[in-house]
Amino acid sequence: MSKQGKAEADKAAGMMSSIRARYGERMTEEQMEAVGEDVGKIAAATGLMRAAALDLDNGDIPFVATPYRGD
Amino acid sequence: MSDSPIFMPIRELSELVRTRRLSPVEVAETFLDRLERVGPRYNAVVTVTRERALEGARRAEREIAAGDYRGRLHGIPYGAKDLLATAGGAPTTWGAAPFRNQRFDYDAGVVRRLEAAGAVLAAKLAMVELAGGMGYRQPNASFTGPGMSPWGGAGGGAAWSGGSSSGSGAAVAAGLVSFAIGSETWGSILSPANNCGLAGLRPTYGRVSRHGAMALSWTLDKLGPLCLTADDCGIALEAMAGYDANDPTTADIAYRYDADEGQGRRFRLGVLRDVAAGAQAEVAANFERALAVLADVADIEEIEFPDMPYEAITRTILNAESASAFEDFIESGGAAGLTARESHTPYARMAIPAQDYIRALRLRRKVMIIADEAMTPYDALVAPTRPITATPIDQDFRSVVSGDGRDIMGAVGNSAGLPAISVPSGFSEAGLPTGIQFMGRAYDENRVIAAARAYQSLTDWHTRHPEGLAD
Repeated sequence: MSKQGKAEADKAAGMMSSIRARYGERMTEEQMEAVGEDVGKIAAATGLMRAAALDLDNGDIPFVATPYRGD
Repeated sequence: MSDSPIFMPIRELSELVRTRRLSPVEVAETFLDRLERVGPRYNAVVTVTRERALEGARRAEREIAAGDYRGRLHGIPYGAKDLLATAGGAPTTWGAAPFRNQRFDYDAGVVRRLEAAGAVLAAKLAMVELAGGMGYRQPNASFTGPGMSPWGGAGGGAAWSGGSSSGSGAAVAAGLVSFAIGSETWGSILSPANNCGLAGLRPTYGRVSRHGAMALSWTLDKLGPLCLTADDCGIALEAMAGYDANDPTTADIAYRYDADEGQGRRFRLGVLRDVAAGAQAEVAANFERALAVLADVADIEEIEFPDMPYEAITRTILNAESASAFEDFIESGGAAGLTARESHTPYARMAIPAQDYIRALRLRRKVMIIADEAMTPYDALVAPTRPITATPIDQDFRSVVSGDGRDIMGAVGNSAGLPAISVPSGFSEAGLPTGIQFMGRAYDENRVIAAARAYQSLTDWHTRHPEGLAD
């Protein structure tokens, strides 16, 4: 397994652990497997973004809202 | 010329209303009857707002008779996707069984604007539950049943109207209203426009107030019109657009529809390399034919976007924001009451780390700059609206939002908040519509509408309507 692949798998495992702890009682094992597939896709997307984020500098701000004054 | 309002573009219908050759009350009665009689055939309607419509139509009739004509939408019936709050007792269901009795005591900002323009709200239209935000892979993910395209398909097979603005698409395509309001987070206006053979306009992010609209993704949601023609989309958008203090994301930039934009000049259009690769053969063939037609009025060049995980960025933002928007609903187990089999899908999104969401938002700024630089020389980028025609209503589909498929135009267009319009580009052998989309730079609605209008002036796909629905 590549370094990125292992990072994604570790991330997916961590997310699944959290999901199982929080919502496991609500789902069948079959549903949990389906959630696992979705988590795998989310982790894969994360991996792609991490690679693209190598071009980001510290000052690259997120897409943000503008300040607000009620008057 | 027939004076039947059915399948009559707003531009023509409004002229008959303005000159009092058609009464707004008669027009409203015609459409209300069709909404009640034909609407159920396509699972297109949640609530027919008969009383409100007739009251508005009578008011329009009085005002026009008195010489107080408000503009092209005065006395024109429309339908609103049922995620828009309306006062007066009609439920606002968000397409979802758990919210079927939800009511508001105010009108959404866009409904108020249309009311001020004299438009007549005739119906709350069906939609995929929670605008598809909890994940779905079948057309039947709505408590009102699967939205069906009036085009059906050869052999009588029922085909999906697209989503999540499924009723908005079906209602206009079946001649139940003159136009409809839909919403798009990723594909929800363009998809029904494609599947129902309509013009559908996704405006620039912030053009139209979302106050009173169900929030799925605060930084991605847009409201826009579905109409019979590109020209009608411009007319409707002018009435819908504008700053609203109740929605701080609205731009304080006035929008005036310019129906003369593009007249007498050639357009410059870009096509992303391999943008039709992997599309259904008929979709690709119709797109190639559309490009050949457009070559009469446009110079067309192939372009490329730099390699970026566009879909992953947009998907992460949508997943994280939808999980937050419906956090209480998900935490309380409410998703189990949804119609979609995949009601467990939102749980995966609840585990997205904050730094991944922020990373997506940081990359999003890069996407916005990349897209704007790439598109600056062009009036619009063109592409097939959808890679496939409408799927059968009993068939699962691959969702680009919750899945891992490619849709660069949709991912870039929605994350960068760019306007796009889809118009019909032909039909498949099964008789199902295909669409071509024109996507432009931020706030360039007039340019993309002009390009689409030029295409429609050279084709007649938009003048065709499903059989048996003309009266």
